[in-house]
Amino acid sequence: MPTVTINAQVAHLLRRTSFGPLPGQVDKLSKLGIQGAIDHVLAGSPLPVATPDLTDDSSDEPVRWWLGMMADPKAGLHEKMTWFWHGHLTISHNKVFWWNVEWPAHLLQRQFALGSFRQMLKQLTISPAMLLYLDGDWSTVQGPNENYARELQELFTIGQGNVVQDNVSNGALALAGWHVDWDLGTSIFIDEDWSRLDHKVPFLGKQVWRYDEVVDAACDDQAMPSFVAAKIWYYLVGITPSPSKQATLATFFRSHGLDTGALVGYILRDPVFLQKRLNRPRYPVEWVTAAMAAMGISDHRQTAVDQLWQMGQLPFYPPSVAGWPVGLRWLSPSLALARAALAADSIAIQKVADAADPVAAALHRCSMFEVSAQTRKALNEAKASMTNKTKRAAVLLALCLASPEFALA
Amino acid sequence: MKIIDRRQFLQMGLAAGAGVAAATTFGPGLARAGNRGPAVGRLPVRARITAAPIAKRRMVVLDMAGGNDGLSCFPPKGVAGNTYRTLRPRTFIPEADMLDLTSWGSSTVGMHPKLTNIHARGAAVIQGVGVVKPDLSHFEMLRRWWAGDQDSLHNSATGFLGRICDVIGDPTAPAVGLSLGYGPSPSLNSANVVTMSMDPYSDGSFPTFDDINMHRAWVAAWKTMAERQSTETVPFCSARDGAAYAKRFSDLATSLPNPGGGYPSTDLGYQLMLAARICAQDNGIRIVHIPVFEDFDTHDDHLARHAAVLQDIDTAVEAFLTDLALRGIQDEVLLVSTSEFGRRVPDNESNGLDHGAGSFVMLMGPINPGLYGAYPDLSSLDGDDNLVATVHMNDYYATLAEGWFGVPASQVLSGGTPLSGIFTS
Repeated sequence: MPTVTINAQVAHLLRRTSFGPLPGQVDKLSKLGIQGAIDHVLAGSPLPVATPDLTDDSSDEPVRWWLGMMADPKAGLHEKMTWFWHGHLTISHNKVFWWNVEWPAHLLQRQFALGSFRQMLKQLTISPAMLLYLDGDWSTVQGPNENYARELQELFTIGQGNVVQDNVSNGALALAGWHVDWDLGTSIFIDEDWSRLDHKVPFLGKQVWRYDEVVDAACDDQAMPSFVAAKIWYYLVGITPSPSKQATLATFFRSHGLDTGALVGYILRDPVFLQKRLNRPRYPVEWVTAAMAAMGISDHRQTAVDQLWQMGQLPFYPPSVAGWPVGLRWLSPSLALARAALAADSIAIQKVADAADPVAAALHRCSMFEVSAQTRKALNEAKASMTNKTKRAAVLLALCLASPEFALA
Repeated sequence: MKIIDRRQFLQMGLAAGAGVAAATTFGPGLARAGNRGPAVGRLPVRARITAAPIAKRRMVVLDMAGGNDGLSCFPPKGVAGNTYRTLRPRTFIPEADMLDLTSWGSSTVGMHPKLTNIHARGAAVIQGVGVVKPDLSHFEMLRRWWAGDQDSLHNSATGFLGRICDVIGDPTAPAVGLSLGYGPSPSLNSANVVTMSMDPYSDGSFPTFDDINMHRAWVAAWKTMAERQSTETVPFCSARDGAAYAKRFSDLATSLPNPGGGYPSTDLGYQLMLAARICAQDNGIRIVHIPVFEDFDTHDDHLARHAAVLQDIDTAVEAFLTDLALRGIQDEVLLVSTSEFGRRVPDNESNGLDHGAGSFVMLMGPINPGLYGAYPDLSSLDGDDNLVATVHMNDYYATLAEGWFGVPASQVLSGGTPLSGIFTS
C-alpha cells in the first residue's frame, strides 16, 4: 500500500470537518502533523453569527448568508455539524415560509451543534418552526396530529424499524396542546382539558405527558444512541459502522450524556477515520464551496445559490423531512453536468499559469493530493495540447474541479 | 405556492436571455437516422388513435404543482350543479359557458370553456383522484405524488416515475427519464437506469469554453477522465460513469430533430416543443416529466387566473399533439397530468380557493375519451370541506404503470388497481 502523505491526510480531514479545504489551508495545517491537525480541528470555535435580513420570506438572503458562513476560511467542525443537524432535524422553508421563526430554530442547531442532543431536541420540538413544519401547530388532544410524533421517532431518534403505531398515537397525545402565535411568532401551550392531555400515557416503555417527557423517553430508548451515532459516523467516515462498532459508538454516546462534541472527537480519533478517504460523494454544498474557493469566486453568493438549486441541495430547502439522501446518486450524470457547467467558468489562476508544472499547481490549488493515474493522464493530455499559459491554466483548473477526486470526499 | 415562487424567481433570470438563445440554438437539427422531423403537409384526420406496441410507448407527464382545481376543469351540471353554485358563489362557472360533454357520454358534467382544443380532441378524464388521508401541505402532497407514496408510509429514495424507468428502461441508454425543468425531479429518482434533467431553454449542449482550443482540450480530457477503470473503487467508477453519461446525454440533446411549429411562446410551449423532439427520436427516453410553471395556487381571484392558466395549457397541448401527429408518433406518446391536490370546494372571501384534496386528471393520446371513476359527491365533503377521493392515487398510478407500460403495479407501488378501458388497443 502506498504511503499516504500528510497533505493527503489533512485534506481528507478538512473535506470531512469543513466545507473546504480552501486554497492554502492544507499547507498550513500539515505543519502540525495529522494528530495535531485533528486536535486543532476539535479545538476550533464556532463562527460569530450576524443575523441576516429576515424580513422578506420570498428572499433567499438567509441562504446566501449561510453559504457565506460555509465559505468563511474560519468555518470548521462546528459549521459542519450545524449542517449535519440541518439535514437530520429538518425544517423546510418551502413549507414554513417564515424566516423569522426558522431563524431561531437554526440558532438552536448552531447552539447545540457540538452539544447536548437532548437539549437541542427538546427546544426544537416546541420551536415555532418545527410546530409549523411537522404540524404540531394546533394539534390538540381531541384532534391530535401524528406527524411530529412519528418523525420524532422514525427519523430523529430511534429509526424506522423501531416505530410502532401505539407509540405514534400516544406520542401525539402527549405532545398536543401547542400552537404558534401568528403575530408574535412564538409557541404557546394551552393548558386546558380540551387542548392537552390530563393524564400520562405509555410511550416507549415509560409513562409520559408533555413534550419534555416525550423527548426524554425517546432519548432514553436504547435504540436512540445507536441510530443517531451511526448516522454521525456515516457522515464523518463515509461508511456504515460494523455492528460491533455501532454498539461501541452507542455506548460511548449514551455514557457521555448524548454529547455530540464528545462523540465527534471519538470518531475523528478512530484510526478508521483516516483510512476512509474519497469513499463517498462530496455533497453539493461541500463541492460548491470548495470549487468556488479554488476558482477564486467565493463572494459570488447568488452563483452558489443557483448552482446548488441546480444540484438539488439548497440550504433551508431539504427535499423531505428525511433530509438529503446519501449515496452514489450525487455522482449521477445530471450532477456531473451541473459540476461541468460551473467548472467551465474557470478562469486562469495566476499561480497556476506561471508555474513550471501547471498540472501540479492546479492540483495544489484544489487541494488534491491523492490523484489517480487516469485523472493525471487526462490532465497531462490537456497540458500537452495547449501552449497558451493562461488558457491552459483555466482548463487545468476546470478539469481538476470536474475530476472524480474532487467529486468525492 | 412557495416552490413555484423559487422556480419563477430563477426562471425570470434564465428566461430573460434564454428566449433569445433558444431561438438561435434551435436552428437546423441534425438529420439523423431514427429522427422523425415534422412532415410538411396536411394534418392527418383526427381519429381514434390505436396505441403503439408497449415497447415503443413513451409518456409525457404534466406536473401541475401548486394544486390544480379539477372541479373548475370539469364542473357538475344539473342537481350537483346547484350544490356547486351554492358552495362557490364567487367562483362558479355558469352552465351556459361550459363545454358540452355529451359526445364523451356525459350530460351531468361540463368542461371549462378555455379547454376548447382538448375538448375537440377528447381526453380520458379520471374523476376524484386523491389519497385516503389528505394533507393540506403542498410540500407533503408533492412528496407523496413524486414518491408514489399515497399513504405517506415510506421514505422512499426512488420516485414513482423513476421506478417505472427502472423496470422498462435500457440501463445503457443516455437517459430513460428526463425532467424539463431546473434541476432533477424527485419523481424520476431511479435505482438502475439514468434519469436526467434539462433546462428547457438550453440546447442541452455540453458546458464548455468559448475558445476553440480550450474547448478541444477540455472535452478530450473530460472523455479521458470519464473512462471507467476496473481497478478503482465503486465511488470512482460511479463518478467516471456519471461523467461519461453526462457527455452522452449532451450529445443526444444536440442531435434532436428540428423543433415543430405552432407552439405558444410560454414556458409550457417551449417545454412541450422540446418534449416532442425528444419523443421523435429512438434515444431510450421513455418518460418526460414537465414541471408546469403556471401558477395553480389560486387562493384569490381564482376565475380569471385559472382561466388564463388553462388557456395556456390548452394551446400548448394542442400544438404538441399536432406536432406528434405530423411526426407520425401520436400512437406512441401518452400525455398525462398530475397535481398534488385539488382545491377547497367552498370558495373564500378573496374570490379564491384554498388547498383541497380530490381532483381530476387528464390523459390524452391513444385513449378512449370519456369520464372514468365516479364523480366526487359535492354533498358529502370531508372534514375540511374538500372532495373525498373516489379514485386513489395508487389506482391512477397503477393505470399508467400497467395500462400503458405493462408494468405490474406491485412492482412500482404498494397497492393500487388499474382502471380499465382507458387505452386504445
